[in-house]
Order: sequence, then structure tokens, then C-alpha cells
Amino acid sequence: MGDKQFIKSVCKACHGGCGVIITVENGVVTYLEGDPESITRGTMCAKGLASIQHINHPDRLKYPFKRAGERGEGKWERVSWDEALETITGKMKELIEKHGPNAICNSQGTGRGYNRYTVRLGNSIGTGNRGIGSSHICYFPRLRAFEATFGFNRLYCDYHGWGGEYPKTQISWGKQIEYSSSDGEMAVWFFEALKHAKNLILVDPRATSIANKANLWLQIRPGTDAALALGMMNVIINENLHDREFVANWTHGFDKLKERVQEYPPAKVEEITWIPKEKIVKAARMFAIDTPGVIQTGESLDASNNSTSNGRSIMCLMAITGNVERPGSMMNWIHPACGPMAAFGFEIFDNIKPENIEKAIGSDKHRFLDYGRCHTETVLRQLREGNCDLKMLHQHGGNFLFSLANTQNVRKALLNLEFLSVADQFMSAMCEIADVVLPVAHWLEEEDLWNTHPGFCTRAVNKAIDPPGEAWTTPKIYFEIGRRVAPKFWPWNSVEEMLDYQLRKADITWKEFSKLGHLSTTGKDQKYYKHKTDYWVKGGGFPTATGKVELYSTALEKAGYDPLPSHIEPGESYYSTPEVAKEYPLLLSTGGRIPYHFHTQYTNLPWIRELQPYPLVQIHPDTAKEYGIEEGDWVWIETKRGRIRQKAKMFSGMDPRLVVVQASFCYWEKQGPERVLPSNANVLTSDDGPFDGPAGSVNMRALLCKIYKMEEGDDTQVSFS
Amino acid sequence: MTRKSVFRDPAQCMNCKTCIIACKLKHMFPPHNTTGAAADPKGVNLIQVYHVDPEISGDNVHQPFVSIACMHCEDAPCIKVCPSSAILKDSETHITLVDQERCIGCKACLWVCPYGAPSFNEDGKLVLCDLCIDRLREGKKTACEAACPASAIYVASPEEISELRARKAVERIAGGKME
Amino acid sequence: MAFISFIEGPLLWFSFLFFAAGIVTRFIFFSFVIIKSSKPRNPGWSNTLVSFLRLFLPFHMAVIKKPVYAALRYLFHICLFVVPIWLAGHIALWEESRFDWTWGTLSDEWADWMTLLFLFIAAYLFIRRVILSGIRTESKKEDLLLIIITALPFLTGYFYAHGTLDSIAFLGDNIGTIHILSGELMLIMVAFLFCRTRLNREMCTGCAACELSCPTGTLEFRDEGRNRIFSYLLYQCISCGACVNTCPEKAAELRHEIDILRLFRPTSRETIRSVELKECEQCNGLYAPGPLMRKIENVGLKITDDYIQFCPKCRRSNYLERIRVSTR
Ligand code: SF4
Ligand code: SF4
Ligand code: SF4
Ligand code: SF4
Ligand code: SF4
Ligand code: SF4
Repeated sequence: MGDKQFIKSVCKACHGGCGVIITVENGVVTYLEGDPESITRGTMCAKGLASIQHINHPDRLKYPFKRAGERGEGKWERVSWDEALETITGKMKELIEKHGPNAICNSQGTGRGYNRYTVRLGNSIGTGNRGIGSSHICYFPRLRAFEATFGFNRLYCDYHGWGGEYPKTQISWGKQIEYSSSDGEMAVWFFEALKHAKNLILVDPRATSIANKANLWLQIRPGTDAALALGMMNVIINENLHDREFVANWTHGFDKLKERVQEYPPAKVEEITWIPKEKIVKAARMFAIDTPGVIQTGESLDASNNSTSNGRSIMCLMAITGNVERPGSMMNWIHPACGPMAAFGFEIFDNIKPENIEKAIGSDKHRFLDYGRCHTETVLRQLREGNCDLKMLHQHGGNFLFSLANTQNVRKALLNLEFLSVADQFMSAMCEIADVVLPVAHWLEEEDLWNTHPGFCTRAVNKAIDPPGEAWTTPKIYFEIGRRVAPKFWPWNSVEEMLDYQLRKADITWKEFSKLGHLSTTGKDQKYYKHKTDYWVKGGGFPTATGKVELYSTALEKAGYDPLPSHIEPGESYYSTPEVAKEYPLLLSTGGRIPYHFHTQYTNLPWIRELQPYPLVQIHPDTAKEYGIEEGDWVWIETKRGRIRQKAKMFSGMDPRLVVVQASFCYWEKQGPERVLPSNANVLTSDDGPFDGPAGSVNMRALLCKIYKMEEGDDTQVSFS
Repeated sequence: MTRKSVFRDPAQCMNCKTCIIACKLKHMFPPHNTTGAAADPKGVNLIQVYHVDPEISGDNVHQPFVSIACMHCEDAPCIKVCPSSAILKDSETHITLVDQERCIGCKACLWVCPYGAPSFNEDGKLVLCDLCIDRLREGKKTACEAACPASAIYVASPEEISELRARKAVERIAGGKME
Repeated sequence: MAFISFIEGPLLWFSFLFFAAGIVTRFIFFSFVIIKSSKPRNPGWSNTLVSFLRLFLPFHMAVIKKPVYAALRYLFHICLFVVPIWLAGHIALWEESRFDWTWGTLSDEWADWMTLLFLFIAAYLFIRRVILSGIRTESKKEDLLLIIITALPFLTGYFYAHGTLDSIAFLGDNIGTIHILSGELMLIMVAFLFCRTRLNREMCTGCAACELSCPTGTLEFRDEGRNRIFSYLLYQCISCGACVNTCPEKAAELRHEIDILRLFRPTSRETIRSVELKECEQCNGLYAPGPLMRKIENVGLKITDDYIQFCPKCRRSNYLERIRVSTR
């Protein structure tokens, strides 16, 4: 073996960040394995390990392309990077000139550690419409709810025992952390902490794999999470089980909350959530008595028209049980010396003129959107109607045709954009309708900084091999666009200088950091009970208007929303739309995730596709019998918006009325509508409201549908409307 | 090296299929460089992970996830039936190994394996889990054990494994999932 | 005599031409079939060619599996070619012919001994075919005829050269004619002579390892209904012996056969073996070939556990069930 190198890096196959050792032989990646010395102790997941097939995939985009025919016609002309970037930035400048910066939006897909570049680019352009996409249905409603409650934007579960205590009661709420380490903690930490836990409560419509380990499974009706949290608080407060010391000293509005929870006695909550009231009472007592406890929350709370209340009610539950900043409870971690990476994006927020922020589309109705973003559904509607201020979108990663509600409408809207440029690794369905397509490097091919989600560790993504063809790394693409449109904010001479700049606070250069691998604040470096110190507020307290945890949110009150959490029925349900339920008698959730897929990503890798060649819809065996469906049959799932087909998989661990379709299944091997529409769950979802007040979220996890077996030959051609 | 045995814990496993990909990666099983279309040739899976439909009684949900690969049986029936002596036991570790040169693809081993573990490559030759014997020799964990986020796979001496199994059984009988 | 001159003249030429034309036709058909043969796992042309050439190498696995038989077979074929070509008497005829060809000769003593050896082996093969039941059931009448037709020119030639039968009047006069006629018959027969694979009904377990090893896709099997059916495409076979080498039961054999009809049907497959499949006692699905399972159960392998009666799928679900119950 001539030349065998071992390179330490960080996997970015999900948001995750498992430590990885890459074996490179003669310029070829030959092996990947978890780094036992890293914070993830050598574990990895199927997605990360399959990356080796990702980098060598024959369909990788290798060169920039410019559209040669009509939008979506599939005719491309290879261009140089200069020409591609000039086209994009030229268009940006032209539109700023003509309509002002709000005509431009730059956005991204899921957060693979480059969010800060997207944010900085938007800020440096000065646009108030800094992004559309799925942030309002994933993660950001929770973040904004944290902010509205605690004043800072996130508490994480303390699985680490650095304060000498592990969580005694764990709640996993609408999340499969065992599969998905996105947006927070890593599975391996969860499993380790579980060894120390006394109780595990699972809140999920389905018996997910950790239901085995749970000693209480609350089988909730999708979309009623706030009601459950309020019901649990009802029990805790009425039985006087709350942490009286914490509530008295550190919270604001407990009395008002107490009043509100009286509207949610367990019996009523049982009606709403379909969970037996005994279980609600049991769970509430468990969580209040066996402290400390943590609550792991998932994305399904956000894809709801009650997202802010979902998040806020759970946060109130954390607060009244004193599970804040206590060892083994919910923590806000201290960042290492280099500071939070996100600062790179937010530090120039002031560059956006206040009037542009005010004009952000949809922000008049929804004041708690992802920091300064516009409201996606409103933008898309305006685009379809042709009266939108937003003219151009530059998109990095992501695929709105799969991630946003009502695919047909999304596509129509995107076609009405004056200009669309997309950077991606594959010719995705969104690239297909773009004007310019840019090829992006894979994480094995790039150098970047990466912030562990909980923030206590910043790590080096080291390059193992060169990108294929002319693909560029993400930082480089942003840097090159940035310095063309807003050189003031992208003053560096090279990407490396830009990385050095981001590390300046730690007084370390990228080169040194790359060798070092990480900067962490773990163990004794972390401080608990920060609200009793000057950490946030001099003299102690939380950085809210009242200096306390706002059970009664003054920020929401000021913006004209209900300052207390409440239950709002999903936009489509047996109770809110009984007339729809007559024709569509089953409850539909689009939350089905496969551990080795990340949305549409990785379904085109041979190893992964082999594990599951077709999308699966989970149906209760009783229901299936009623409809004459058997395991493995193709099934049509139909809602008012359209229908899709998936293969039936019997699963008795859920309510017989519930049907769970697999989200985002992309037929990469096909073209045009056949690639996007046949099994895409978002063909079924509604983009037509109701929306969550503050966060603008749309309900995607609790809909009504009907199912029927696909007859032979009924796999009719689909087409874009 | 001492004798080796493997235990895949159905109570820990959570069906993430990481072990399958880790194994494919370790052995670099084909297909490679294809587009991943459903019609692409199927590769070799040494591990299968199965889901047992949940059984719900009270607060208790019982749905083990069982990952099955070659168990390296003590008195392996596959070795007894192989007409071309293509399967053998490693003298040191008692790991069941395959000599693919000799295998003629008669599948007799598949028809006698109690677990249906044998899989066949595109040449029709038997491929079995070799417990990553090269990694074990280097003192490393097997690829699947190292990658499993739920610590559901254990490779150790038969004594340690039976002790572990016994301990797990006791834990289970003690009724303590978490309590 | 007109008859004798016809036999020595036009008929002889006809036989030679027929022989040559047969070979050429066969070669064309063969090439055609081989080129468009569609083995899913094509081992590559060079591999196929090597397998083909192995046909001429005496020392492959078949020798080890049935050493005596293999040795006799090779001796038989050597004599079959060497004696007629290098026999002094035949060469004299070529010299006299209009071609005026000649080449080295075999000493008469050698020729005699080789002829006797040849006849002896032929007799052995003939008797073996009649007596050994396994082979008999596989043999058709034509197979015996084949040996007789092959042996006849040698027998008559020997008599002719030594005058052994001169005392019998008719034979004494006509032995030369008979010798030539039988030689011509043999030449004509060669055009219809194929070397083909047989799967011995009593020994074959239906495991299909032979199918896997066949480089050309000549042997194929499909599980149809309750049976596993092996089919064979005569023209595609390159007589490489891979199937013979592979078969763990010594059940595959390469043997000559006269087949007049198939000469003109280069692409037709024939079914050569059908094995019943074993039914799973749990799900009633068919899984493994029956004879193989019987062998596994019976031949002292001491695998008598019940699970053997279940298909791998059911074994797995039983295992899952055991786990489900034991971990409850
Ligand atoms: S990696 Fe571990 S948890 Fe995942 S499927 Fe395999 S054994 Fe189960
Ligand atoms: S292949 Fe089957 S029978 Fe052979 S050792 Fe492995 S598990 Fe046992
Ligand atoms: S398939 Fe190969 S290893 Fe298995 S019994 Fe047959 S020859 Fe032996
Ligand atoms: S031990 Fe190695 S060969 Fe066996 S299943 Fe695990 S990774 Fe595959
Ligand atoms: S290899 Fe032998 S036993 Fe197996 S099917 Fe072929 S002839 Fe029969
Ligand atoms: S049938 Fe047998 S002899 Fe004929 S080509 Fe196939 S392996 Fe060779």
C-alpha cells in the first residue's frame, strides 16, 4: 500500500456530526469508520457510511450549467464558473437596482453546517426576504418558542452527566432520536444516558423502536401535542407537584398559566389526544416526581398549525418542573472559545434596513418566523398570482418540490420566479427548473468548520479528496458570490482567510485548527445554574423582558398573539372538518421517516436503495383487512389535493385509523414528473392554511385521507398541473 | 486470539440498519457506480434486520428487532453438508470461514442453516459473515459492532457472551425495563 | 465389379464431402449460437475460449473423479484418430489418389495393438452401458449403435488386414467392401454426432451447481410449478467439462450422441432433467430440490432437526418468534 492516509473529519450526512476517520489510498477514499475518540465514540449511521457511494456516484453534478431551452425543458449548456457566477450576481445587482434588495432571496435546504453562510449572504445583500423554505415547519418554531419563553434560543438535553447527574425521566416527544441526530443530540448519547434513566416516556402516534425501552407510551393523535402538555401541567399544578422554588423565583406568569391549564383537565385531554387519562396522569407524575428530566422534541411539533403552542407548552412543562439548567435536565451549553459559529451570519444583521425587514413577505401576520425570513406559503401564493415582490431565488441544497406542502403549487410558483439558481450535488427536481445550476462538493471533499448542534464543540471538516470535475465547496461558492455582490462583507482573499476569521476569537488559524480537530467545552468547562450567575443577566435571571422564564410570554403578547399556550385543532381533522372526514375517513401523517434516508437524499445510492427499493406506507393490519390490502401491495393514498402510491407495510403499533406515509421518496432514476410526483407525500399536503399565528407553520402531520389498493395497470402517468 | 462468539441483542437493536451498511463498506460489496435505480443489481447483505410486529400489553410494548447474520454455530451444519469442503472453522477463533475458490454454489449450506444466514454473491458463491476476522486480528472491533449506535452487537469469547446473555435474561425477568 | 467401384469411388467422396459439409454447417450454427448466447453472468470470451480448449487437455477434474473411466476414454479417442490416419494401408491409398498425398506411417505392429486396445475399450464401454443400470436408464438405443458404428471399421479393418475371416466365404470375399462401407458410415455419422451433457437421474440432487459453472449458459434451470427443470441447448455446449468438474455428485457426464433432428435446430432447448422441489412443512412453499434435501437428511449427516423441514423464510420467522417469546 503505497500511500495510505487516515484523515479525521466530521460526517455531515445529516445535520449530525459523527466523528469519522477517512482512509484515503492514492487519492481514493477506501474506507470510512467512526472515530472512537470523538464525541460520538465511533458510532455512525447507514447514511454516513454510505457516503463512499455518494462521492463516486455517476450522476454527480460536476460542472456549472446554464439553461439552454425553456425552464424545466432539460436543455443545458456547460459554462465556466465565472460566467455562472456573473449571471447570478449580475441578476442580483440588476434586481437590487430595480426593486431593492427585497427582490432577492437566498435560501438553503437542511442545515448541514452552512446555515451561517446563507444567513451572511442574505444579510450582506440587505434583503428582508432572507429565505423561504421549510424552516417554518421544521425546528425554527421551536427555536422561536424557546426564545419567547427563555430569551435565548435553545435548551438541549443533558445526556452527558457533566454535572454529576443523568436525567432520571426522559421524554421523547415526536422524535426518533435513535435514528435521527438532526437538530440536537446524538443517538449514542441518548442511549448512554438511557442506562442511567429510571423512566422513559414516549409520546408518539406510533410505537417507534424505542417504545420497547419506554415504560410509558402515550399514543397521541397527531397534531394534539399542546393539549397533552397542557393536560400534564394541569395534573402537575393541581397536585402541587411543580418545582415551587424554581417557579417562584425564576418564572413569570405562573398564575395565568395555572388558570389556562384548568381548561385542560385529563378527561378533556383524553378526548382531544385519544390518550387514556390514567396514562396522562401517570406521565405527569412521573415527570414531576422523578427529576431531573429531559424532553427530546422532534420536528413533528413544528409541522402543525399550532406549532408555537406545541413548543411553548412543552417548554412550560420543563420550566414548572424545574428542569432548566439543572444537572441532568435541559441545558443551554457554553460555546467553546471560538464562539457560536452562527455569529458569522448574524453579526451583520444590522445591514438590513428596518423598513426592508418590515416588508418581509408575510411577516405582518407571522411575527415569529425564522429570524427575518419571509413566510414561504405567502410568497409562493403571491408568485403564483404574479404579484410578488420577490423576483429571484438563489438556493443552496434542498428541494422545495419535496419539502414544501403541495408540490404542484410549489412548482408552479417557482416557475414564476424571474430567476432561479440552485447549487446542488445532483440534478435534483429543483435544479431541473432552474436557470443556473452550480455543482457542490461533498463533505468528504471540503474544508469547513462545523458546530455541533448543542454548541459545546466546534470541529474541523477536513478534506479527504478533491471534488469531482469543477465542483466547488460550499464555503467557496458563498464566498465567491458574496464578494461579487457585497464585497464589503466578504473582504477576505481566500476561503482559508474566511475560516481564519471565523476562528479569530479562539486565536487560532484554520491550519492549526484543522490539525487540532476540535475546540470543546465539555465536562467541568460547562456551568450549570447559569441563571443564578451573571451569565445572561447581571445579578441572575433569564434574558427575557421580565428577566424570568416567561410562562406568560410578553413577547407574544406584544406582537398580539395569545401569550399562553393553547390547543388548536389541526386544520383538517375529524373534529375541525367533519364534512371532509366523510369522504376521507382516515387520519394521515406524513411523518414516516426511514433511518437511512435523509428526505430524498441517499435514495439514489445502490446500497441504500437496495435496503428499501420502494416507499412504504404504514397501515394497521385491521384497516388493511377492511380495505382488502395486503403486505406489499401498491396502495393509493388520496387527499383533497391529490394522490400518491406507496407499498403497504403492516404495522400494528398505531391507531387503526392512522395511515403513515413515507415522506419524500424520490425516483431518482426517472425524469420530470415521474421522478417527483408518484410517491411524494407533499402531493397530499395543504398549503392553504390554517397557519400557526406566530410561526406561520402549516399542518402537515395531521390530515385526512382515504386509501385503496392500486389495481393492475392503474399506475397512470402523472404530470405537473 | 481466543475463540469468538457473537451476540446481537434484540432488546437493544432499533432497526437502523447501520450494521448492514457498515458490513457492505467493510467488504466493499458491489454494486458500485450505478445510479441506484430500483432495477440495479442487488448486492450482498450479510446481515438482515427484522422487525417483529409490536405486541402491546398495558404500558408495555414488545417489538424486538432482530438482526441475523451467521451465528458461527459451534457444531455448524453447513460445514457438514458442504460437498466441496468450502466452509471451514478457523482453528484459533472458531469463526466459520468460506473458501470461495472451492464453493460450487450448490446452496446445500443455505438449506441446512438454522437461520437462513448464507448469502450468495453475483457469481453464486457463498458469502458469510467472517466476523471481520482481519479487524479482530488487529485488535479492533468488528465493523458492525463499532458502528452500531445502540450497542446491540457484541463480539467476545463464548464464555463472555453466555454470561452477557444470562445477565440480560436476568434483567428482563426482573421486569426492569427501566424501573 | 460396379458395386465395389461405386463404394470406393463416388460413395467415398460423398462421405468425405458429407463429413466436411457437416462439420462446416455445425461450426456455423455453433458460432452463431455461441455469439448470441445470453448468459447473465458472462464470464468473458477469453474465459469461454479457455474452457473450450480445456476439452483437449486430458488432465482435468474428471480424471480425478473417475480415473479409470477417464483414462480409458482418452486412450479410446487417441486410437480412434491415430489408427485410421497413420495406418500404412490408408496412406498408400492417399498416395495413389489424384492428390498424391503422403505422410509418415504407423508401424503395423503398433497399428495392430492400438486397434485391439480400441476394440477392447469399445467392448468395455458397450457392456458398461448395457449392464450399469444408472447409465442404462440414461442411454438410448442410439447410444449403443454409436459404439457399434464406431467399432465396426476397426473390427473389419483388423479382419481385412489379417485375413482372419477369409475362411468364411462371403466375408472372405467382401470384407474389404464391408470395411470401406463401415468407414463411410462412420464418416457420415460424425456429422450427426454431438458431445452433450447428461445429468444422471439417480445421482443428481438437482442442486444446480452445474448450471452455475457452465460458462456458456448451455445448462439452465428454472423452478416451475413443483419442479426444478433443467434445460440444455445442444449447440451452445462447448464440451468444456465445467459441469462435470463441478458436480459434487459425479452426476454430470459428457457423452456422445447421434441426433439427426437437432442438427438443424440450432436454437431449440430441450428439457433434460426435472427434479421435484421440497415443500416447506410450515408454509407449503417450495424451496430446495427434493433429492438434495433427502441426501442431506439421510447420508449420515445427522441433521435431523425439525427445522430442516422448513424453508429458510419459515426458519427465520420461527427464530423471530422464539426471540419474541424469550425476550418478552
Ligand atoms: S446497527 Fe445496531 S441498532 Fe442498528 S440495526 Fe444494526 S444491530 Fe440494530
Ligand atoms: S452459516 Fe448458518 S449453519 Fe453455518 S455457521 Fe453460520 S449460522 Fe451456523
Ligand atoms: S454453496 Fe458452496 S459453501 Fe455452500 S454447501 Fe455448496 S459448495 Fe459448500
Ligand atoms: S462481523 Fe464483519 S462481516 Fe460479520 S456482519 Fe459484522 S461487519 Fe459483516
Ligand atoms: S451439479 Fe450435479 S447434482 Fe447438482 S444439479 Fe448438476 S448434475 Fe445434479
Ligand atoms: S453444459 Fe457443461 S460442457 Fe457444456 S458448456 Fe456448459 S459446462 Fe461446458
